[in-house]
Amino acid sequence: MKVLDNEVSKFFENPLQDVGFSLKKIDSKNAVVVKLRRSDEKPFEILRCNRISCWSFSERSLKHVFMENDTLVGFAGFEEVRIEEDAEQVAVFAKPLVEAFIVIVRGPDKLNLLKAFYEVLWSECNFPTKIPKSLLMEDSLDETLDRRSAFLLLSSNEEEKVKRYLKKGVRVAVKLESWGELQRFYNVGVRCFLLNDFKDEYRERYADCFFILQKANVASALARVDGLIVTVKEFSLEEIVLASLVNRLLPLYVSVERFDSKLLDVLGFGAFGWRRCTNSIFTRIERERERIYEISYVSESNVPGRVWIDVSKDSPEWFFEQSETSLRKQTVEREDGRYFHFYREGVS
Amino acid sequence: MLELRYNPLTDEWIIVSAETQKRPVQPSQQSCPICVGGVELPEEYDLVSFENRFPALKRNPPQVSSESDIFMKERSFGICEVVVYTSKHDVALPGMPLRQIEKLVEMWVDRTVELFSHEFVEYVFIFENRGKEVGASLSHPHGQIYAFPFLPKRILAKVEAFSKWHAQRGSCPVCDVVAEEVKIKKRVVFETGSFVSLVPFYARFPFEVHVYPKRHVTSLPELTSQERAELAKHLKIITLKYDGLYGQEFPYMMMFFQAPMKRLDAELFHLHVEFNPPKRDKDKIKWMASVETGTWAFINPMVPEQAAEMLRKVEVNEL
Repeated sequence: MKVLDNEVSKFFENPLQDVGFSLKKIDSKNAVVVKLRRSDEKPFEILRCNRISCWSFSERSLKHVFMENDTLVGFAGFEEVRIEEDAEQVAVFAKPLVEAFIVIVRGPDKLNLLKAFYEVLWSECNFPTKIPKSLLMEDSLDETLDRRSAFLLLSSNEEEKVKRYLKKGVRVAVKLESWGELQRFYNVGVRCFLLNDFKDEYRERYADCFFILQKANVASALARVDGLIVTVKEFSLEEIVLASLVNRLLPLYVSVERFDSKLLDVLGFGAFGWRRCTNSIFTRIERERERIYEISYVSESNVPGRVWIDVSKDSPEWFFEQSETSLRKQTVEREDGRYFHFYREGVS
Repeated sequence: MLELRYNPLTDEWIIVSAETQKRPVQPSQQSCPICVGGVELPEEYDLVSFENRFPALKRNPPQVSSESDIFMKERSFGICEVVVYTSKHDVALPGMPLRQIEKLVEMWVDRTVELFSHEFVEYVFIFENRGKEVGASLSHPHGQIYAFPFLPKRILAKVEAFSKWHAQRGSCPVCDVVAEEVKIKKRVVFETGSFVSLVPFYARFPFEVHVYPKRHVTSLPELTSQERAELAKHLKIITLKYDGLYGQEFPYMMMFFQAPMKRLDAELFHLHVEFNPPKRDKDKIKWMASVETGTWAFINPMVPEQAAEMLRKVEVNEL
């Protein structure tokens, strides 16, 4: 594998001479962070690897990490990401945004390498964590809507409907056709937008908004927007598990296609047309043994559960805790705006 | 006034809250605000958790602006809840039926899940101050929960220690300590299938007890129903032993340390409960004085192994 025209092993040498970019070694993670600044140049080659021996996600928008043997190279903060593949090689070309990072990690297996990569982005590159939310369609709207974690998705040609729902206190997301529409919908109270393109200057101007991108590469969306819509139609079960690791930094919004919503829910994907139930920050993924992943999670009724993913089979195996919680909760808002949560015995 | 102020000398946030000055101090049962019919809880209840009338942190805090780029301020986002364990005024954790403590654990689980779901919450801290020696303002059995918008300094120190241990040894310090302690037994106070309560080798307070789950879990919601019931049992046994030690109500600070779940390294953390009792003898207090407060260095006048033996010998049979 070559990064910025240097063999990856060179980045672990001390010191790497005449490289023209800043380097930081993180010994505890066996990682190196390469930091690049914005340039006015055209996209340039950031990575080249052998097509046969190198692994990456099959979906193009998720090709932001490449692994070969015990080494992972991942990148974030780039625009105009272009991937060229021929029979022998894969080459990635891109252009740094304001600040771009290439992270090289060495370690024993795919899951640990990916975990280390996202942890380095979070801790060393200060990428914030995100909480995935639901984008619901009108026909699935009901009184159980959690106003904190769900948005009703409407299109920009439904302005009257947008206003009507906002008046009812429903949080609305609008799919924009052009940037020009943003200010108009912002003025009526919309705070979540689906877009095809994103400009960094809008983050400051619309600081209280959620931005969800369509048709972009993870490397361009990480740390800039609040979610990315991807398709998982062709994904294997293993790819779904591995792709879910990105969710803490950038929720990947997926619709329910060949995977059931329960699995996507516990793995922390952003919901596109279905309802999120669990609190995915409690989910943990471990590699139990060769080809088997164990995912532990906490259900919507606060009960821990586990799911085993045997990547050689097509369906996950669920294990549930036997007993449900025995408490029933009733929340009351007092006149001064304080919330009181009363708990009594009895099934909720 | 309600705001966060940055201390550049220690790189930490200080919560300034004039509201907390108004909290009542040790009112009688007749005027207890959290008894049934009291000012906070006029209705019948079993267990309840509610937002403090005099909070240090609020879900909608007032706007603030920094005085300069040296004197920096932030809004005091967060939630402070009062957790009422039972409607009975005259019992405490050791005197409560085991079933009531099991329900309390279930309530803490639910509060943890709900509070972590707020965008502005970075850490959920469950605690109880028992006795006027540690500043409890009400005698009705209750604890509190602070949902912080930042990671408090000592929590960060713990997170970094877990991470360092993992980087050096590839394991969890609590898992390693538990494996060793259950073998040698000399600091163990009480043990069940899933939990061990012990006076730690590194105790800071004379009768400090830590409750550790034997399985590596990061937070209360990850405990199974069996483990939740066992945790309730440990809390009851330890507090009963405390009261039995000198035949008096034993003051303590009980604190739950859960992982800061929004951090990507949260899975390295191991859930645990710390009891920090201030007493070093029947009528003597171990004060948090200059050395402890100023340097975070503790001088423990009690050998942990001796404290463990004394607590082990206290017989309790009320279960």
